[in-house]
Amino acid sequence: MYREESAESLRQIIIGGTLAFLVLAGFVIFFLVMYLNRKRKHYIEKEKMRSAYQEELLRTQLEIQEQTLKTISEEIHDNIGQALSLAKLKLNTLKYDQPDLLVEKINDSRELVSKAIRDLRDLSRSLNTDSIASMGLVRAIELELELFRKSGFETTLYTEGEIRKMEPQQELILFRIVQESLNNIIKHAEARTIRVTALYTATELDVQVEDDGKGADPEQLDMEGNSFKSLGLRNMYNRARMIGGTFTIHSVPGNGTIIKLNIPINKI
Amino acid sequence: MFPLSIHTYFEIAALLAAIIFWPKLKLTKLRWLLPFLLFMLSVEMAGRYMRTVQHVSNAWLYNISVPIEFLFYGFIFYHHYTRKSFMLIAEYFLILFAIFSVGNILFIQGFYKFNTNILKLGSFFMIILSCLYFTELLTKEEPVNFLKEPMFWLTAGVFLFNTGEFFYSLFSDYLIKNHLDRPRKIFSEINNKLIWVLYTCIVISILCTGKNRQRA
Repeated sequence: MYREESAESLRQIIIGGTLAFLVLAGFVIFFLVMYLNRKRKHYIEKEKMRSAYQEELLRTQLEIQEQTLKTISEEIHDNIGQALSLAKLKLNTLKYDQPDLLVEKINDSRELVSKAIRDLRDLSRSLNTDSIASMGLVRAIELELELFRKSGFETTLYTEGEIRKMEPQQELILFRIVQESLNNIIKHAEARTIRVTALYTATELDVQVEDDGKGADPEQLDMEGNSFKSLGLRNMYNRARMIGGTFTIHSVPGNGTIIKLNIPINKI
Repeated sequence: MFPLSIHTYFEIAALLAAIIFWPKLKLTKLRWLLPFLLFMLSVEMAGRYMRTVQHVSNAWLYNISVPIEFLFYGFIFYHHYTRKSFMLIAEYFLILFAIFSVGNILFIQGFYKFNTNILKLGSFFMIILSCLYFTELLTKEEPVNFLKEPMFWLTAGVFLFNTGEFFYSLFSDYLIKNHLDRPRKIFSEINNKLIWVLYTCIVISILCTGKNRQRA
């Protein structure tokens, strides 16, 4: 009788212990499942963000490409094409029986062809992404400003802090934003002076493009949702956001425009 | 002999699942499940026949099948690990456990008496090998949907089964020595219930194999 009781209690202990062990094992699996599930969700989210970033980058590259083609087309039409057409016109109207006029026209044509070659070289240099990557952002801006100086603008480039190299893709996007701001000054601002400031701190890069033109159309500066109404400004705003930065524009009619870019250097 | 115990139906269900999903299963590392399940069911049926019809001890049969079962799971783990160190542990287990099992049968506990040492050591190592697989899952860089991962379910089954069995096996020698579990009632009760858990997990594992392959 006693033996049976003892066997029964032992049986209960063993079954209870086994159950306790099983519950413990079940908990281990449960926590594993929970943890892995969370990890998987986090991973999927990260992948989605990465793919969205890639998509945005691709879109921006396409936009930049389109913008570049437009710039080439304008440059060829407005400058190089004009210069060559004029040279052709001068050569077509050469009069061999008037030696003085002949020499003058040939010299003019030579100068026009030289100007076209110079313009082509400048265009090629400012569009070459490899050279921008190799020379760095500040030097690329400096060369860009040189072109503007040749066109009659008064330009200044001011840098402060230790110039730091960023990822080529990001530097290129930043440069294109600055380039587009400068092109906008030519097209719309009627400005005489352009001042670009690049301020490097330990964590940020502040770039400012300033002109003394007539100021931007207030309608163009209006926001629609969290972006600009104007397509050009919206592109610049989105590109800055894509590299983790901010884009702001301040303009007072008659008092010029200031474009400010702030890029956290760590994010780059 | 008939009707069969409930846990046998779980084994039959697992075997049927393996047969039905064989076209998909054969393309995976779990293809060895089919012969293994066939072997386990045969052992179960033979053991039952010996016990209920012939009324003879079937301990020797389980002394053969239990080490094979542990070695099979060890082999499956070995083939699913990606870390070299874990593979090495599984490899050592396979070799040492095989040697130990033969030694235990021949020199320590004998062939006709149920080998509790094999059960203790085997269960312990199964818990370790399962935990190693879980560790691999935890440290994987690209997490997969493990609930659809056949090996996750198989490991969960093996882990739960052996955790339960290990606790019993710790007391098994005392119980047998003092004739407290003479018809091995406690063992059967625990073991049979754990078989439900293990084979349910195996069935899910096989079903996942089918689903995964269909998606691929």
